[in-house]
Amino acid sequence: MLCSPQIPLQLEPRRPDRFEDFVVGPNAVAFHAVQQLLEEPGGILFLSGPQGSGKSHLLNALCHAARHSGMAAFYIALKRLPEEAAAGLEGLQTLDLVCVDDLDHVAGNPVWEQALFRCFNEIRDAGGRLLVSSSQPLSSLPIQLPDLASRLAWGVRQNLQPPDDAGKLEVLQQRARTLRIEVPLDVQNYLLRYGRRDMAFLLSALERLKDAAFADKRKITVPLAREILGEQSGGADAG
Amino acid sequence: MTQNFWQTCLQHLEREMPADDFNTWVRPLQIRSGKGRTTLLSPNEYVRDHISLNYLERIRDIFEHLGAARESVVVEISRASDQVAAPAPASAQQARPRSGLDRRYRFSNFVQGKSNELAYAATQQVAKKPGAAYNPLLLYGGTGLGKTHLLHAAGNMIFKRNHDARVIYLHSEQFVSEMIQALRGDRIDAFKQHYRTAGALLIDDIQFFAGKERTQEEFFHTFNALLDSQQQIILTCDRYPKEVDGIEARLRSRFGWGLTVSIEPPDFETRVAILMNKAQERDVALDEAVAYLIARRIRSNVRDLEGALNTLFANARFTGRRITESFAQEVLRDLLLVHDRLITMENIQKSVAEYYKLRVTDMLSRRRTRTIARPRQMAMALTKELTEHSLPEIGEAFGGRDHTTVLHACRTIEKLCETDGRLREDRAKLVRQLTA
Repeated sequence: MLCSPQIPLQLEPRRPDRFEDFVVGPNAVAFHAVQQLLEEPGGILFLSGPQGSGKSHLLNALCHAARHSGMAAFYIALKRLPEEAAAGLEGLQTLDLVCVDDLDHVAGNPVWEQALFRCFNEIRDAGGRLLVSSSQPLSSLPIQLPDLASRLAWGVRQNLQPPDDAGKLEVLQQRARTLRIEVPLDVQNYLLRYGRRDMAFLLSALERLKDAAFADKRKITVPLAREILGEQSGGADAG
Repeated sequence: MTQNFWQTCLQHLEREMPADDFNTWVRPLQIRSGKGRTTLLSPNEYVRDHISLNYLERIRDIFEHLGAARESVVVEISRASDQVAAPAPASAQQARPRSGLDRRYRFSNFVQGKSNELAYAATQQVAKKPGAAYNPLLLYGGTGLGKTHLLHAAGNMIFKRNHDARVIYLHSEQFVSEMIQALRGDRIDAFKQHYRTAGALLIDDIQFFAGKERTQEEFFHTFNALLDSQQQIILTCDRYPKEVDGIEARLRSRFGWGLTVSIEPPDFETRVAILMNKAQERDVALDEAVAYLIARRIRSNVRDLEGALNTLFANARFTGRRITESFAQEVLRDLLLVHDRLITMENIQKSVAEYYKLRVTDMLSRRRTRTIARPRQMAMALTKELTEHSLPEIGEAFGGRDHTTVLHACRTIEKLCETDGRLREDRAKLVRQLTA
């Protein structure tokens, strides 16, 4: 995947997720709680919410904000990682902030649970901050190691509500602004009506629209969206 | 210059890689540059290897494209984490006489109650006379009941009374990993020396030694050396140490040489006291009614109580609302529901019957033989303690008995627990099981 030496220099890097790009909607308390973590050395936050509710965005935005203020931050998405990667949680106590995304993907796996338990203890002893996300609330996760469960329960718990259709439109508009593209309302509505309606799919559709428009020097219109959705609806990964 | 190369490189990688991968592996790398070299610093070995294997070639491609030599880019583990991974030489450790201790944990901020007073008293006594009172002292009980708090409190007191005492606190997993690092780095003698000459050694969660033979071997010798020179050892375990599988017999028997004390889940009054105490520490005025509400519903352990309080306070702060009963109900709704769900009358009957290998129908029957009557009394006592049901309701559910029978059962169990260690142990296990 990364073997091509050619670098297309004209493409802009995707802007990292930031707090100001987050559509807060009904999640004001959780949003504040995440931001507040930077002010609380030793703070622990457990953030739950279904897919597409913005967990990864908030975790990455927090890392971005931390780095911006000179802290060392680490983000790890547990989804798709093999068991050996649990060793990647070692030695993180030297950092100011560790964000662990998708805990639900490894809950019940003894290797990951031990690694997380140890990571938790080390971070806490060192006064670091820990933000853990999961698509299910802590109480419904099949965590086998009671020591890990009780430690995660120790901190603040917040739950994110997924966006409704109006919220999804808002997220799309916000992302269009960050991508600096013009997406007419009829295209937005088209995406919502005819594509899969989960946030991951919608946002990837937007990226594709941008790339297609850029490559073919076309405007973003409903016909273009139709082409994109036609391509995507078969094999897109919800992510 | 290389900083700019790295920035450009980041921009490319971000376009090319899936966002999760980029954020996990590449973004946290810090760079150190100089003398024509760019060093990517990873927090640990795993990240370093992952980068080397998957992304280094591409990074070098980009650097080359920008006019730098391919070999000028290398990946290393950051120095700060290097220091942590390897135990410092013994001399450096000596400079930090209270290694690993957290000063926030003191005896004075430990909330005592029936469930932990024995453990509290024993630990304090040991801290006042290290090496002389009970050696080793072993505290055991479920997670989140205050074992670690007492361990740190003892360490802090030992140090306060004698600044020359080299007190070491560490988690058992840390002992294991330091030993592995020492073996790898050919520093095992320094490791042995470090622990065998401690003034007091406090190790948390020794159940994690299970199945690790080499560690147990080393710990066995450390243990003997410390005991021989009358240095205090305090250990904690999540269950009665004899119940931990995978611990060598000789070590297990040594654990029992001193004093072994259990910590039970806190009773209602202690739970309220813990909540009020924590609120005071945080300078938040907590209404007693709210503390009652939480304490009535969350019975499992202290961390769960503190977690509920943390969540409550965070929500109050961000919404600017006053912490009333209804606000607490609303914010903690999911949390309280979970704790309610587990403890029902049926659940208690089933668990107790299973524990004593009886059928529920037998336990609820009219029969009065001791083997059935005692478990029945136990189940009734637990129901009174763990649920909100009235005595007549409990009597009714236990085969249509009178409420005075329930009261009698509760008193009998309470009295027996004071004298009968076995029964006390049974009760503790059941409570743990039901409230876990």
